[in-house]
Amino acid sequence: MHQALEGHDAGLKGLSASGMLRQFVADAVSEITHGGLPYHIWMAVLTFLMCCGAFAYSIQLREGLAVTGMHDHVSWGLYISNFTFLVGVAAAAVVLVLPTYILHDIDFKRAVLIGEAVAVSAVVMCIAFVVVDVGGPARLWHLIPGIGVLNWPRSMLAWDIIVLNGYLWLNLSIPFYIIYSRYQGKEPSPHIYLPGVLLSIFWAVSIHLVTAFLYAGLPARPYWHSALLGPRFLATAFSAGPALMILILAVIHRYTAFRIGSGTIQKLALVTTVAAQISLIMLVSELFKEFYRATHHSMSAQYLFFGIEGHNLLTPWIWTAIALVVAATAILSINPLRRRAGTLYTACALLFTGILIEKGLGTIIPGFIPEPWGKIHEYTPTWIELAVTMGIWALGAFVFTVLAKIAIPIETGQRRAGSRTR
Amino acid sequence: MDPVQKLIQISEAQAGRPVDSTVDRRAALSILGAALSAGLGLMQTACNPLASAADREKARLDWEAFFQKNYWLMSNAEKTETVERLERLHQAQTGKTVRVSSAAAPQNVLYGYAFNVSTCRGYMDCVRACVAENNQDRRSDMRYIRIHELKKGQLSFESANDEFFHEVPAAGHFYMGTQCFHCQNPPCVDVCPTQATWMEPDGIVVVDYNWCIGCRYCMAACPYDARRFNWADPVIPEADVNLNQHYLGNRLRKKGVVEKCTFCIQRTRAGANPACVEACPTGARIFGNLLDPDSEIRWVLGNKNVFRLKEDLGTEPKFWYFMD
Amino acid sequence: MGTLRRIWPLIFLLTGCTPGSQEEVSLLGRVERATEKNANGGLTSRAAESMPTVPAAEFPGVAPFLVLARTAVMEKFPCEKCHNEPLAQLITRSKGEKKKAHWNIEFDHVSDSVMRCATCHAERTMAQLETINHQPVPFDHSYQVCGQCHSRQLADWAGGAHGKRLDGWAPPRVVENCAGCHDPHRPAIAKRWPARAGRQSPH
Repeated sequence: MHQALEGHDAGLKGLSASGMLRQFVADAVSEITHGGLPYHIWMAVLTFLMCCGAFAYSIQLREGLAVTGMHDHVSWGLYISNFTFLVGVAAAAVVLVLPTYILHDIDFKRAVLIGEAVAVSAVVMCIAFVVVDVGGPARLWHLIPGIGVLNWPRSMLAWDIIVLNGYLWLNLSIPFYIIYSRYQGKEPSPHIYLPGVLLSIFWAVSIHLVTAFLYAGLPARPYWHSALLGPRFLATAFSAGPALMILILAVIHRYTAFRIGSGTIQKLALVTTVAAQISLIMLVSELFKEFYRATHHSMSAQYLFFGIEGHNLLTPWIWTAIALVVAATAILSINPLRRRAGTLYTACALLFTGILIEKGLGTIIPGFIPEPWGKIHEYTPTWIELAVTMGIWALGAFVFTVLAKIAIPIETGQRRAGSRTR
Repeated sequence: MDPVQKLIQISEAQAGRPVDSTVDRRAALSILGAALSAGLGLMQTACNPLASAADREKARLDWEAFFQKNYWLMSNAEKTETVERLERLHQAQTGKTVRVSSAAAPQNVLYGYAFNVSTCRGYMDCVRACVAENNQDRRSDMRYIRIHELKKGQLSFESANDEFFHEVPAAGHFYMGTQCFHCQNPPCVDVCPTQATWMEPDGIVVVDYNWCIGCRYCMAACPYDARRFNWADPVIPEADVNLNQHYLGNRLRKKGVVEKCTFCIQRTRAGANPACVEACPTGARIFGNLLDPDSEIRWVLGNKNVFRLKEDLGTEPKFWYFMD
Repeated sequence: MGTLRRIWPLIFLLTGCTPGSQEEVSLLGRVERATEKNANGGLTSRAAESMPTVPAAEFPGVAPFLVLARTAVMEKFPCEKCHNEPLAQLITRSKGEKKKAHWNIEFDHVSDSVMRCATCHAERTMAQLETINHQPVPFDHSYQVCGQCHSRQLADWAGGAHGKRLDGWAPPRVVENCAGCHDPHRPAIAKRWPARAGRQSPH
C-alpha cells in the first residue's frame, strides 16, 4: 500500500519552530489514524476494552470503592497489585537504554525507543491504577507541592509520586527529542540526550526501589518488612520487563518494517535469564526464612502457600506462578532453547505471566492476611475491578501502540518532515 | 523559655509537623478559592435558574469546601470559617442545627488511656457507645473498637474470637479491647502522602477528612488495625446523628476517606471522658492527662504493672493494659 | 530560621535525621518530667458540679478526690426516720420471730465463720457502719469498711485503677463508692449478654 506524499521538501525548510511542531503533530495524527486492517482491529478492540473499563469505573465513582472486593482488612487489592508489577516493567526499560547509549552497542540502538515506549506506557498504567484506587480522585491535587501538601521526605508514597512522574517526563522528553530531531532530518546531539539518558538509568532503579520501600518500610506488615523485598522487586522486574520486550519486539518485527537484530533479542534474553535465576534464588531464601522455623510472622507466607484453616484462595495462584517461573527459567537457562525463537517466546510468556501473578497477587494480598490481630479475611476482586484493570491494560497497550506507530516510521527513515515513503 | 512552652515545642517536634509560614501561599489559595467560588456561584445561578435557593447554597458551600486547605495549615479565622461552613451545609441539607467545634488542643495536656484486662468482661457497652457518639456508618457496621475474647494460658490474638455473642464472661477466657492507640511515634502519620493525618499537640492522632485522598497507605502502616475506610457513603439514621461534633472528630464524613478513634475529641477537649470510658459499667477503661501527676492514668502507670501491645515496634502507643 | 526551615529536607538527606528526633524525649521520659500538678489547660469536669459528693479520706500518694455520696442515693436513709430503737434491742426483741424487714437481703458474701450482719453494720446505731474494731464509719465512706479485707482493691480504687469514675477526665475527680457497683450483701457481678454481637465479618 502506498502512502501519498504529504507536503514538499522545499516549502518545509522555511518553517518556523512552531510550524515544524504543528507539522509533526499533524503527521503523528495521520500516522495513528492510518494502518492496515490488523492495526485497526487491534485499536478497536483496545478502545472497546477501555470503554468497558470506563463504564465500570463510573460505577465505582458513583457508589464508592465498596463495589470492589477490598475491605478494611485487605485495603489494597487488584489495582495496587498491578501497579506494583507495572512499576517493575517500567523500570526494566532501562535495560535497553544502558547498552545503547553507554556501551554503544549497535544492536540495542534500534530497540531502545521501543523500550522507552514500553516504559511510558507502563508508567501511564501505574498512574491510572493509582487514580482508580484512591477514594477521592478529585482531591489528588492535594499532593501538588505549593498548592497542596506533599509529605516529602517522610512518606515513601510522596517519593514514589515524584520519581514516577519524573521517570515519565524523562522517558517522554528524551525519546521525543531524538525522534523529533530525526524527523527534521537532523542527528540528535549526544550533549543533550546523554545526561538525560544517564539520569534515566539511575532513575529506573530508583522507581522500583522506592516502590519496594513503600512496602518494606512498614513493620506493621511482617510479610513485607524484609530487606530482600527491594532486591527481589528489581530481580523480578529485570526478568519480566525484558521478557515483555522480547515479545513486543517479535510482534513489531512481524508487523512493521522495523528490523531488530537477533543479537539484540539474544542479549535481552540473557538479561532475562540471569535476572530470573537470581530471583529464584531470592525466592528460595524467602521460603527458607519463612518456613524453617515459622513464627507468627510467617503466617502470611503460610496463608499464601498452604492456606490457613481452610482459607486458601491464593494457594492455586502462587503454585501456578511458581511452576511457570521455574519452567520458564529452566527453559531459558538451556542455551539452545534460549536461542530458538519458538521456545524463547514461550518461555518469555510463561515468565511474564508467572511474575505478574507472583508479584501482584503473591506480594500485595498476603501482606494483609492475616490482619494485625491474626484474623483471616480473604479478598476476591469483583467484576468492576477486573473490568477497570482490563481497561487500564488496554490503555497501556493503546498508548504503546500510538507511540510505536509514531516512532517506528521515523526510526526506519520512512517518515521525515514533509514526506512519507513506504 | 518556660516549661509549658518547651513541652509544646517538644510535642510539636514529635508530631513531626513543619509549620509552613509562607503567608503568600495561603493568601493566594484563599483568593483563588474565593474567586472561583464567586465565579462558579454566579455561573451556577445563571445556568440553573430552576435550582432552589437551598440547592444553590449547598452547591456553593460544597464548591468552597472543595478548595479548602489542610486544616493544620489554617489560621484560627480560617478554621472558624470552615466549621461554620459545615454547620451551614448541615442546616441546608437537613434543616437541623449542628455544632461543629474547632476547639484547639488544651495547653499542658497529653492524653493517655489504660485498660484493665482483669475487669473487662466483654460487655461491649463501649462499642455501642462509641458508634452512637461518633456517627459511624451503620450500613457497614463500622466500629473503631474491637473486643477480643482470648483463651486463658496465652496472650494470643490469633486464636482469639472477636465475633462472640454469648453470655459473658465466658469461662476460661479473658477480654481485651483494641482501638487506635494514639501512638506517640505514629507510623500512619509518617506515611500519609498529603499530611492529612497528624498528631495534635495534646497527643490525639487526627484525620482531616476533607484533605484525605483515600490512598489507604495509613491503613497498611498501622500495626493495630485502628483505621477504618468509608468504602461507601456512610448511612446514619437521622435520629441517631450526634449533633455535638468536632471538625477533627465525629463530624459527618463522606465516602472515600479514612477515619478512626479520636479519643472522642469533641468530648475530651471539653474535659469529659470518651464515650467508651463513660459507658464501661465495670470501670475497666481509664483516661486522663499524662502530664498531670495527680491524674488516674499517672497513678496506674506508676503503681500497676502495665504493658502495651506490639511494644517492640517502637510506636509508643498511649494506651496501656494492666491486670489487677 | 526561615532559611533553615526551607532547607531542612536537605539536612535530612545529608545527616539522616528525621523530623521529631531532634530532641530525644521519649514518651515516658516526658511523662516523668511532667510534675506540674493540675495544669489541665484550664479544663474542668463540669459534671462534678451537679453530683452529690463528699471528699474522700486521705490516701498516701493519691491526690484528693470526691466520692459520690451513698446517702444521697439510699432510699430510706436515715434509718432513724422510722426506727426509734437501737439495733441491739431490735434484734433481741425479734429473736425467734420471722425477720420483718430486710427479708429480701440474700447474704452471699463469704461464709458465716467470717461475716454476719453485725460485721459491717453497727449494732448500736443503724445510721452508720463500723470497722472490725467497732469504730464508726458513715455510709458515705463505706469504702473504708470494704477496704478492711479488700485492701488491694481499696488502694487501686483510691488511685483510679479500680472502680468507676463518674465525671470527665479533668479534675475534680468524682468516683463511685464500692456499693455503687457491688451490692455489699451479694457483691459478685452476675453474667450477662453483651450489648452488641461481635462484628460479623463477611470475608
